[in-house]
Amino acid sequence: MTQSTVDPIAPQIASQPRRTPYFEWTAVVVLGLIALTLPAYASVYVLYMASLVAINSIATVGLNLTVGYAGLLSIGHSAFIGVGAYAAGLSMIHLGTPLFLNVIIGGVAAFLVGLVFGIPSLRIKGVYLAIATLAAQYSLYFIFQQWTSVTGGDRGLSLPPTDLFGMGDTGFYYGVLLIAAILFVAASNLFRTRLGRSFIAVRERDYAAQVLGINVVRAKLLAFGIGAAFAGVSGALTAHFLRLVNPDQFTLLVSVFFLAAVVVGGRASIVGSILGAAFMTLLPELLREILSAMPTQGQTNVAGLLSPLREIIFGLLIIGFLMFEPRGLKGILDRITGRQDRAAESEAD
Amino acid sequence: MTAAMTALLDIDRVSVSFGGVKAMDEVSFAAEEGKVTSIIGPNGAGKTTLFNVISGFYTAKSGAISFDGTRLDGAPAHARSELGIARTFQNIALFAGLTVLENIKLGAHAQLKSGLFRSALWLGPARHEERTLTQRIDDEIIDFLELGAVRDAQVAGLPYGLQKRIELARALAARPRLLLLDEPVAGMTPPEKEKMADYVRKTVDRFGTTVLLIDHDMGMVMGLSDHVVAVNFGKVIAQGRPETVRNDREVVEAYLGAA
Repeated sequence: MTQSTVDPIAPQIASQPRRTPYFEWTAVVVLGLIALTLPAYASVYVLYMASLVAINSIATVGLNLTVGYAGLLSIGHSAFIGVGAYAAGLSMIHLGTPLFLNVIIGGVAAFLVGLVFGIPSLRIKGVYLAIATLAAQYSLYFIFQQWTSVTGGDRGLSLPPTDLFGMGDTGFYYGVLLIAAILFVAASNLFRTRLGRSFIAVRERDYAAQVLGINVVRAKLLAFGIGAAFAGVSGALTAHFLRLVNPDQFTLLVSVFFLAAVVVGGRASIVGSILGAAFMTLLPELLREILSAMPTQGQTNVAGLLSPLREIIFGLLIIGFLMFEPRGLKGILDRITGRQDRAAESEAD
Repeated sequence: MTAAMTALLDIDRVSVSFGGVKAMDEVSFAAEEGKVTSIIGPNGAGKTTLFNVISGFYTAKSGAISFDGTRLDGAPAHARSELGIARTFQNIALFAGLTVLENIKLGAHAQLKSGLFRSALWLGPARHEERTLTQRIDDEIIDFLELGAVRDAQVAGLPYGLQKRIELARALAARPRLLLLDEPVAGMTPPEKEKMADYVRKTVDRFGTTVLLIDHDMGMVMGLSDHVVAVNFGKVIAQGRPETVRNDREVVEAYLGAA
């Protein structure tokens, strides 16, 4: 493969290492082992948090497909999670469908709704698109809340417990883990083929993408739809997990939470999405620990402080990461592990 | 009138205007199969506009563009790659966040078939398709354009001249019948220019590609071209063999500089 003729330009460049994600593989194996053995030694609380992290990771990976890879800013992600949750919940109540089928129902329902709300992305970009996705957020929330005969309105849906493999919480945890693993692998695979490349091409230069034969309309809608489908799966799992679906689980704040997870974890990175989701899910828990450890002054209400603090910290994290580490936790990890400072320039685009 | 049986691309009285400005005014010429046709003219003469019309970014107000005997106008921009038309850009339009190989692979997008599920499951067909493509690019393009040393490097940060060559590689990945090159040697050093001219020549010889070229470098244009079209203010002012156009009085005045 090496060339014989002398090249006037190429020799000046030190041959950069291949972008084979050694680090990503190591991380996947280590995290996988921890995840698999967790029920053996972890408390119920830890298992609960781990399930939540896995569920949130799925939604974060989905949002990252839309926002990070395809460059379509969306702040209506939680509404798609809601579509998945309601679809799965209703199917469970009325048809008695099992978890694995509900997950597919939730994903497909959210995919279709995502396609519809992805239409504005064909005409507008950036902040304007973000505002258009607010329409998804608010109109879907309105439907969840007002279509009482179907959604149960503000009270929402109460669901029967799920018992997977006859193992209770542990079974559910493994079920979530299995689904998450399948989806993470699928998302990674996507970026080894033409479809994933076309998302990135559309993000970086849509006119050049067209010349290369990429149907930009199709690519954008698909990026929206797939992102929403992941959200839908996550929503279906949330429904099973909490055994409750109500509108307040799918507010704008939740969409911002996932956007923060994408930014904090690292845009256009699957591993980054998982890190970001874990970080954002565990942060409030950490915060509560810190607050409760602080000496109480008079009648300071710790619980009352937590909620506003949370929102402030989400905002600060997004701004801070965008300013100081646009590649997120993934970027920090890459630097620690001494991997090539790749894509540093590409962020300048 | 210029449309002979061998014309792969036929531009017939094409006009384009933006508001009141006529960017192209009844432009007609033909690009013969397997030949190099060059468009010259001062900045703002409408050369890139012509490329953008052929690419489907702009629609012609009147006139017809035919590729291999069928009308191109009206087909969406992304349909052209599959028909066999590829192009490079005046300002490099590579994808900085991807590697050189990934950029080149994107050039073959329209030739690939893998859909959503095959891609996500990474089953036989999708995997096979990627491997075959990588192999083909290695065989046909990487060696040919001497990109072996940077094959897996990130595009961002690579030298300008090299990025121009990667753009050519990406265009060739589609195995185009017609290749539009928009100022392929602009901003290059003389040795780089010579090398690029050599690659273009070899592309025509090796793959039989029809080339439509825009450039300001007269040495390269005159050396490479079989047919030269000179434009000014959106109009064709002369066309013919390079030496004929070079000595045309109007061309000399408009562009080459009357000394």
